[in-house]
Amino acid sequence: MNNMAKPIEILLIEDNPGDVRLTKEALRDAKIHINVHVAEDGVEALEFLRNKGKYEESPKPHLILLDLNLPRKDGREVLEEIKDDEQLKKIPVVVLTTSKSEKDIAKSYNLHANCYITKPVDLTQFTEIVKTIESFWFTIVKLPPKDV
Amino acid sequence: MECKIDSFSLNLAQNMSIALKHLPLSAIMIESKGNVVYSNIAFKKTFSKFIDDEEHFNLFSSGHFSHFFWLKNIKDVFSGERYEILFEELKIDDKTFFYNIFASPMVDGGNIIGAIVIFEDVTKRVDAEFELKQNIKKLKNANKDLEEFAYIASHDLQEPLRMIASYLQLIEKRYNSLLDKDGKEFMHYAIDGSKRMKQLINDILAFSRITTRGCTFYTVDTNEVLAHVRSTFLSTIKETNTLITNKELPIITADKTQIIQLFQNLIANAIKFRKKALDPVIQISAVQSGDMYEFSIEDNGIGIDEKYSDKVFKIFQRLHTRSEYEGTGIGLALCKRIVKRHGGDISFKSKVGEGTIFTFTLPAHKESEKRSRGEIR
Repeated sequence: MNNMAKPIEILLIEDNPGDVRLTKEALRDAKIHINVHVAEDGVEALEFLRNKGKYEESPKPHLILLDLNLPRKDGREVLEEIKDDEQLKKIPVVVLTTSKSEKDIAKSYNLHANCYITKPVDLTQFTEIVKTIESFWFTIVKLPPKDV
Repeated sequence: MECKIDSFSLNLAQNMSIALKHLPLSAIMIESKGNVVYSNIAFKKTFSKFIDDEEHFNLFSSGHFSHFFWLKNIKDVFSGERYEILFEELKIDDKTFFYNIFASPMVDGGNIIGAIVIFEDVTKRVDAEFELKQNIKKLKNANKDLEEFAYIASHDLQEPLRMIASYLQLIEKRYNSLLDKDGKEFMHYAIDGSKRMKQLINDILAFSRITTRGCTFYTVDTNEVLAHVRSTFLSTIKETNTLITNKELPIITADKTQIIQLFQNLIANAIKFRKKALDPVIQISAVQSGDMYEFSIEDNGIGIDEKYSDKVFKIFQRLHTRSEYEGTGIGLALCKRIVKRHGGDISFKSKVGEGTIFTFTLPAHKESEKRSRGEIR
């Protein structure tokens, strides 16, 4: 049962506008109303999450989709900072990246990523994966309550 | 004190003396004041530059020898100790030589009167070891470069490729109705091209990883390898009604993952290139050949023209059009690289229209080898 009258907020931390668009396209057919917020690098992402500057009024996301290869602050650093932050660590982080490297996978889980997904080359597969993420995290899974 | 020498001893002494004289090792006898009372042919030849006067040659006062480490210890020999020094460096004409030096007290009637010193020239071995170390270092660096390159090729190329592939597919999905017949065909070729490029990139990575990610060799039971491949291909085997038979297969010393890859590629080929009207039959066996095992994988498929013997093992070389058979043409190149890495060879015999036998050699298991650890991954 979904008591989500309010829309789902997703923070997509991704520097490639092509990938941003693809992810948004894949989420378009979602049954639930999803707001996708985009941060193009790690610094912007953390400002958004901490409601700094222009992000004062921004909502806390229910889910974070994180690319590892970002300019300025690298995705791995962002992950570490999020999971070290008392206010932010409870937000599920899905690492969604091109890297298949075992080092990256291990490091991400060590830094407490909730899961790790490699972006497929094929559009159909990518769309499927995004839909699966949506269905898993917003239909099956119980998310942490808003205020602790 | 008089020494009684019988004729046997005398003969022995004379024969030993001849042997010593012509020994390829440099040998000298020095008495306690350093005078060289005997030097064999090899010594005279090797150290001729340092010998000013062959008749009166004193090691302690010779400028060339006096700094030698072993000479400092020679006094111990004179008091009865025998020693070996491994490795003395000696520079002759700007080139450095290395010697193992063996010294033993020289006795006469119970008294030590000097020392026998023998020099073993190990320069070639030392130089070879050094070169080997250098080559290993070079190889490790080259390997690292290769792995880096392969990573870049696969990783950095993938992202723009994803953009091309994904957006082409998106256009096809969204705007298909706006495309005429030609447009649809163009889209199809473009998308197909991007998919093939993805496969090529993955194949290049796999190919380079045979050396860069190669594991230590352990004991491998090839029966287990075959069982693993059978289970991996279970559904394909059922669909194509393939029969795989095998004789008892041997235990080898190898990188298990790579041998699985090897068997998989060859068996997959045997199934893929089957005759249209005939259920594939694959026979696998092995015979011992020296300290290797020679494996044979025989099929009843379409066969390969033997004029392509070399071509088929080259990377990305194909013998058929893409509409006839899919694949990038890397399978056999991978097999060859794996077999070569294990010190073996691979070849085939075939008759077009009848079938093919692939033969390859892998090192046999030696009792002293480490045992394989754990399950097949």
